[in-house]
Amino acid sequence: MVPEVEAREPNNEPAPSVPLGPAEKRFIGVALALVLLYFGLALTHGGEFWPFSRFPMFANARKPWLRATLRELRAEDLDTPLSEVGERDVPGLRFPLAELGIDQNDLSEVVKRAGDTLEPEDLALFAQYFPDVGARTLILYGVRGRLRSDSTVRVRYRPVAMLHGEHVTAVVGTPSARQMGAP
Amino acid sequence: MRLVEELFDSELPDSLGQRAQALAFELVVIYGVQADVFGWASTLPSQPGIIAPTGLAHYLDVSFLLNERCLNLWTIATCALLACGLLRVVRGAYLLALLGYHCEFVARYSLGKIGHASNVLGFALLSLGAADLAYRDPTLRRRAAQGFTLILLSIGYTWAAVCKLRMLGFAWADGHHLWLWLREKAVDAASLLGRAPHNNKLQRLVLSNVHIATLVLALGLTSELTSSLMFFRRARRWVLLGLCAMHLGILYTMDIAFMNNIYVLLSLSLPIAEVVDALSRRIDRTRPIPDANTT
Repeated sequence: MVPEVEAREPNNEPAPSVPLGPAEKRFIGVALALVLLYFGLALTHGGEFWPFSRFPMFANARKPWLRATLRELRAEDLDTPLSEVGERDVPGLRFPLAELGIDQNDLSEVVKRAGDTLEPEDLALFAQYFPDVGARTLILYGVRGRLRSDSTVRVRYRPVAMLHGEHVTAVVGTPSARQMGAP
Repeated sequence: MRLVEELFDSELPDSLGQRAQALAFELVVIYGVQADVFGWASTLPSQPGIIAPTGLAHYLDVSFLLNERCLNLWTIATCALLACGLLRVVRGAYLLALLGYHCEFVARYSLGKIGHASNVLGFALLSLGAADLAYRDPTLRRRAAQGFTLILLSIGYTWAAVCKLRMLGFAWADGHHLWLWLREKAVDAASLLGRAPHNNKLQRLVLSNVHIATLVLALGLTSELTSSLMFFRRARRWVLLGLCAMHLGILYTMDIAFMNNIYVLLSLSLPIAEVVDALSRRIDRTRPIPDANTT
């Protein structure tokens, strides 16, 4: 069977306008309803009513970002003060979130929502979120990146909380992990 | 109404190739939806709660989906509805499956971060459902489903481009922004895997020269800005393949996999209909003509 598109193409003359049939009219009606639904739901719900979205990802290109990561402290790191540092000075070793079955985006969002000062409900949420990490001492860091005026990227690690066993403790000031109760 | 003719022409004759292309599109959507709901079913029970409601979760408590038994039943019901939609058992099945899919989505993304990798499947499932309700004729239903999907895709991509331009204008495409995101993704990859990520060739290329990074961003923005051209048959294939290339670029530079978008765009743009029709014509030509005496 020859598709009709091919049969029509040799004729370059504009096709005479024909009135729309019922199928086309119905198509227009449903399409308009879908477009209204899209804009109606997205605009009344802050741009997000799945599957309708204004897709703002990466729109604010210069916006600094905040991510979360875990570091496992070795015995020699336990007395190091936990303070905001650059990428090369972060104590401990990287600890893979995949090992705890935690989603990177979710964790970053939880840290972002908690903000700079952890409230008791934030700690309760963390405690619920993280499984028992056993005898390890893990530090949850908020990682901030921003473009500097010379167009290089500055990345800083700020300790947020310490995880040991099933306990989550907020990092306040610049204590060492041992001062916070790590063995 | 040239636009309606471009997106949905009830007078065009149907062909085996067009049916094959429509089936490929439908199967891609069904496969993607079931993969999503089964994937979420494995992570939802360990989620701490519904913290930042979105979508229907603003009005409906979806915390029952954090219960493993309820969630499994919900997932199986959603997949059963997909099967009913594919086999045309119930006309509203696809729309009910969309409701099930929506509820799992809003439960899964209720911690504040909203993923956008499944929106395209939502668009396609909504289009299949709307076409199913609007038309009984299979040919019209297939064409309408693809037409509605193209309209929704075009709105989504264009809105994404408008968001970018509204923030920074064409300066959005400054390659330094891509460098900033690449560092963000490097932090994510290291955090997830526990080791420093290796840059691939494309990442090394965009990091080596900011003008190349700017070009990559500019190409992506152009793909989104011109997405409405997919309404027109002659441009459609190239616009959809351009968007596919954009998603592949995002995948290889920033490790963000919009695989559902890639598969749906390919199912709508690859020349499946033309290939199947050409093969069908060739088979018809080589088939021996039945002898009149034997009939």
